[in-house]
Amino acid sequence: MSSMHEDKELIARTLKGDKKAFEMIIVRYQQPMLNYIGRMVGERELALDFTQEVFIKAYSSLRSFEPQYKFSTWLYKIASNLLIDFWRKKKISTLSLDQPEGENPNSLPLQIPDDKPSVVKKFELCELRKLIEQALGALPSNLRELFVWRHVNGLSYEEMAEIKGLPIGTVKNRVFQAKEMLRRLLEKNP
Amino acid sequence: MNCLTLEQIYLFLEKELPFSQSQKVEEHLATCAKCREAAEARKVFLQCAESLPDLEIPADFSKQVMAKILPERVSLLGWIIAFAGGFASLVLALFILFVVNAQPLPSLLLSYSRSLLNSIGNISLLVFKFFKLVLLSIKILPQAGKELFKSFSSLTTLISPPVQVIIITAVCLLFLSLFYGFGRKFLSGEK
Repeated sequence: MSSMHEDKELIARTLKGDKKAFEMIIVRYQQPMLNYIGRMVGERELALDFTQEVFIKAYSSLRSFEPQYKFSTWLYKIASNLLIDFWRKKKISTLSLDQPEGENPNSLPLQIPDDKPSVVKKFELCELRKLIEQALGALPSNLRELFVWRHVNGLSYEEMAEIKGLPIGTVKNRVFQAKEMLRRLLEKNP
Repeated sequence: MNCLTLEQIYLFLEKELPFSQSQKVEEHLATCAKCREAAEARKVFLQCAESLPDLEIPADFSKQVMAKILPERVSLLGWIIAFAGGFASLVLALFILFVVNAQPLPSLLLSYSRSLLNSIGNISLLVFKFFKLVLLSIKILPQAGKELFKSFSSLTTLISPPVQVIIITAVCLLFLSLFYGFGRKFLSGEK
């Protein structure tokens, strides 16, 4: 049975009052959700609280879920909105996807730059992973979110476009910006 | 083929290019050392990003969430313990009263039930009076309304229409600003 069908089955059982079914949904999505939220908020404890809240919200509004969509997409949308609300309440500037902050993305090279020592050559893989984790925090939240969805959670561009309600081309472009910005941050690392 | 753009390299590495374009990119990479090196570096970078470790999740995480979702059911044993605790407290209270008052238990219970009955009587009287007051105010309200209306109509004969319009607009603006202010305070938590 495909993952989407299994989700639908579990949702149907939950709506009929089978609590175990929803627990199975949590077990299925807790890790990707924590990986995403953790990279967005930067603190594990806070990320755990947020992840709990996402599932509680999903449970309470499960009847509004439309089965023609993917459950995971719906769950990521809940999480993304929750994070936006959190930042808004904390008055941390959240940026529109149409207006990225920080380094001007237009200044990113489109062509391959001339010979520079590659960051990959400078560091061991394990160290590079640590550096990526650190540099993620310096990315604008809107770009970070798309980067994490694509390269940590493995979401497709179509799914990301559906979650954010944006054209696929825009999402692809933002993810490209995020990757090159991240690489530049790593290159700057002494 | 010209040198590849960085976006093309990423899309190629992510297998997002159509087959024909992907083949062209592959052919170009076979001949261009600069693009090949750039693609290699980005490949490793993506592999690293895609293999970031999972964040540690508590083993009982799903149970914790379910406990928050569902109100905990009290088991039969829990009910028995609560009932026994309540009963023991009652017995203890009676015993303390007996010791403090140094009276036989039946007369003690009788005197307390009397005072309890008295209190119930007093409270009922109070409730009765409150309802009477409510009924009376309901009777008075239409009369008061009429009087208020009369006083307003006499005011309108004294004030000219343009002044009336100014007063009404000012009052409306005052109410609007009050509601807007309260709305902002309560909805956005503004201090």
